[in-house]
Formats: sequence, structure tokens, C-alpha cells
Amino acid sequence: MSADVLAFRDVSVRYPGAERPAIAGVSFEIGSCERVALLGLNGAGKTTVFQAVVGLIPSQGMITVGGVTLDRSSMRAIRDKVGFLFNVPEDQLLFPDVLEDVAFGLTSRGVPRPEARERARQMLARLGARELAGQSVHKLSHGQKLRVALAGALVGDPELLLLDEPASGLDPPGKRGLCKLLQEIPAAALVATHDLEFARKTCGRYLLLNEGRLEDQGQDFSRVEAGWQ
Amino acid sequence: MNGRLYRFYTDTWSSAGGPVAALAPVTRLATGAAVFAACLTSDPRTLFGSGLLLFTVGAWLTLCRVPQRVLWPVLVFGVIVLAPFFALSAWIAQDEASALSLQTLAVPWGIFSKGVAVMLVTTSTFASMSLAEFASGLACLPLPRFIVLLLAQMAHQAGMLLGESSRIRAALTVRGAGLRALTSMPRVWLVRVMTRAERISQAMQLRGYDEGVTNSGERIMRHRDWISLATAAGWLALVVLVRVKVLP
Repeated sequence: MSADVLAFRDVSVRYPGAERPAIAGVSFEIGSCERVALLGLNGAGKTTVFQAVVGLIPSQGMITVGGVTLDRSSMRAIRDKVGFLFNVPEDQLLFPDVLEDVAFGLTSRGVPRPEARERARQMLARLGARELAGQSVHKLSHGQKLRVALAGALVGDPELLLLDEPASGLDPPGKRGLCKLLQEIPAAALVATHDLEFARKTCGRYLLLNEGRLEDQGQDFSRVEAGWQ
Repeated sequence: MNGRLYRFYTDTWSSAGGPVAALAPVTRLATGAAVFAACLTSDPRTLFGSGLLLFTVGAWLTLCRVPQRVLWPVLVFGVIVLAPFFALSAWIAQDEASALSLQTLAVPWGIFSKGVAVMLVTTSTFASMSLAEFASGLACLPLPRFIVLLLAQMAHQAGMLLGESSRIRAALTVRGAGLRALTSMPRVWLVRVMTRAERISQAMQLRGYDEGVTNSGERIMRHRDWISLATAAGWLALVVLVRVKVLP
């Protein structure tokens, strides 16, 4: 039994018709409450890693989340342990009403609606978005949609957060608020980003993907910075 | 155009300020549906039938109190789409002289007036509620769960798609596509819609959005709701009776 919240063992993903695998032989672990940056240039395979974790795409190798190995029967249980922020937050807003959308993560698990709505309201307030509670998602800016999607991902108290480019489109105060929040949340987080400054502030170490392979990992972000220049 | 469509979409919901907006969402939907059915049932080929249709639509518009900025575009759209039906009168006429007679024009007039009427009634009904109220009202209706989820997502995603379309069009225009923007639009749009649909499907799987989604409709019915439902049902019954018994 591992204490790791997320473990990848020799995981590969190949899309149908693709010449090379999107990720190949990737192995890493993330411990409890650890924040790890997933770095890589465009097309490196960051989003594929995220999708593989929750079984949105078929993969080879072994993926374990919170001690549960990913397979068809455990998929729902694993998805309940994970808070996922999509690269385009608008895609994951499934309800026209902000509060309803954030609360859905709880109501879908059987939490009574009034309690779910109250907890959703508290989560929005924690993200500095209390005023969005009564609004329609159609009238929100990109940054506001991102906060709502993030609130929806966090409201179920996930063990693991998968954040795909969470800082993109956020203004500087928004980025600072997100950094602070990520430090406070009692959950492990894998953060895919190009923003090295943001990664350095929020994450204790990094994993560097290059053309689908785990090229480097460590705590010295300046090595990545030097490589990218 | 697309930017205007998106603004129209977001502006329409909740824009009406009449007494209908004070009813429970499910009552608004059900009474709107009854008025819609009354419009379809009426027979505007006679003067009396036209009067009945006009009264039905007029009363519903008055009770909804939809702003003119919402009503006018719908009216203009309805006229543009349905007016060509009057050209059918040339085929319906027995001879050239009767092409413009009242009897010949009655058929296209029936299509035109009913079409415009249901467009106005539908818009007014939607203008009397927010998108969230629409979903919650649907959830209270005795419909199969997957139909409710499908309709709610269609209404919600239509807005998202209109927003996306306006961004695509803006990008094509800014990049100097000009008139070519019009021809490029369907191709670019289709690819975007397909990839977007896939991402939304993934989000639904991930967030557990399926037929097991719990019913979020709150059916709190007050006296006024029951009175409105009874009135709308009574009116529909009257229109049906007139259609069957009175009109030829």
C-alpha cells in the first residue's frame, strides 16, 4: 500500500492513427498534499497525462490514485477523488447558474441540495468570487469562468487536483489569490503550466515532459528556465 | 451578426417583467406551452379565427411584458422567413384572376400568422425566465429524465456556441478574411464544434452528468400558479372547441 496520492508506472498513451505515442513510459509519484508542476512545451503530452489519470483516454501501464488502481470498475471512484480543471474552463460548466454548477459536484454524490448550495457559496467566497453566486455563466469573463470551474473542482474536497493551465487568463491579483489558495488546500495537486514563475510559487517540484517522455524532474526550476531559453 | 445573435440570446432570458415572471418556472413553461398549443390549434383563415389568434398572442405578450428590443427582431425574423409563403398563392389559385383573392391568400396567411404567433409566444415564454429557471421548470415536468437533461443542455450549450461563433467570426474578420469570412465560417465552425463537443462530453463523464443526475426542480406551487394553469388550460379548451364546433 503506497502513501502516494498519484502513481504512474510506465504509462503510455497512443492515439489512433498517430505516428508516435502521446506519452511513452512515463513514471512518477505524487505524495499527499504535494504540489507538483507538470511542465512542457506545447504538444509535450501534459493534457494527455491528465486525461489518462481519470480514464478519459485508454492507457497502458499502471495508474494508481489514492491507493486505487485505475480500471473500468474503479473509474467512478477515482473520478470522485479528483478535482479537474480543464484547459478551457467554459467546457466544464454544465449548468447556466453559477451556484448550481459549483454545487453539482456535491449533489451528484448525494449531498442534500441546501447543504450543497451552502458549501458551494462558501467555496466561491474562498476564491474571492462570492458575487458570482447568483449569476448566469453566460455573462462571465474568462477569469470568472475559471474561478467558477475551479470552485466546482474544489468543492468536493478532492484528494488530488489536476489543474490544466490554471493561471492562463488570470490577472495578477487572481494569480496571487490562486497561489495562496493552492498553498492552503489540503490536497495534492498536479499543475500543468507554461508559467514558470507561477509554477515556482505554487509547486515544490516539477516534472518536465518533452515529446511524451519524462525528460527531467527536480526542484531547481532554473534548469527548466535555462533549457527553454 | 453572430455577436448580435449572442447578445440577443443573453439579453432575452429574464428580460420580461410582466406578471408571468412571478409564477413558478414550471407554471411559466406549462402555461406557455398551452398558449403555444392554442396558437397552433386556432384557424386564422377566417376573420373570427384571426381575431382569436391575435387576442391569444396579444394577451400573452401583455402578461409577459417583453421589451421591444427582444420582440422586434423576432417579428422581423418571422416576417422574413414566413412571408415567402404568400408566393404559394399563385400555385393554389385556380386561375390568374383569383390569385390575389381572399380565399386563395387564406392558406399562406394561416401559415404566416400561426408561424409568427408561435415565434412570439416562445420568445416571450423564454424571456419570462432565466436559463436556470428553464432547466428547473423542465425538471418538474413529467418528462423522461434524458429528455430534460438533453433540452437543458441544448439551451445552455446554444449560448456557449453562439459565443464561440462570435469569437470565430471576430478572428476571421480581424485577420482580414473579409467576405471570405462568410465562406470560411462553416468549415472553421464545424471543426470547433466537433472538438468542443468532445471536450464537453469528457467534462460530463468526469463530473458524473448523466441520467442519474438528481432532480433539481423545485415545485412550489402557489394559488396564482394553479389559477394561471387553469386559465391557460381553459383557454386552450375554448380554442379547440371553437375550432371543432364553430369554425367551418
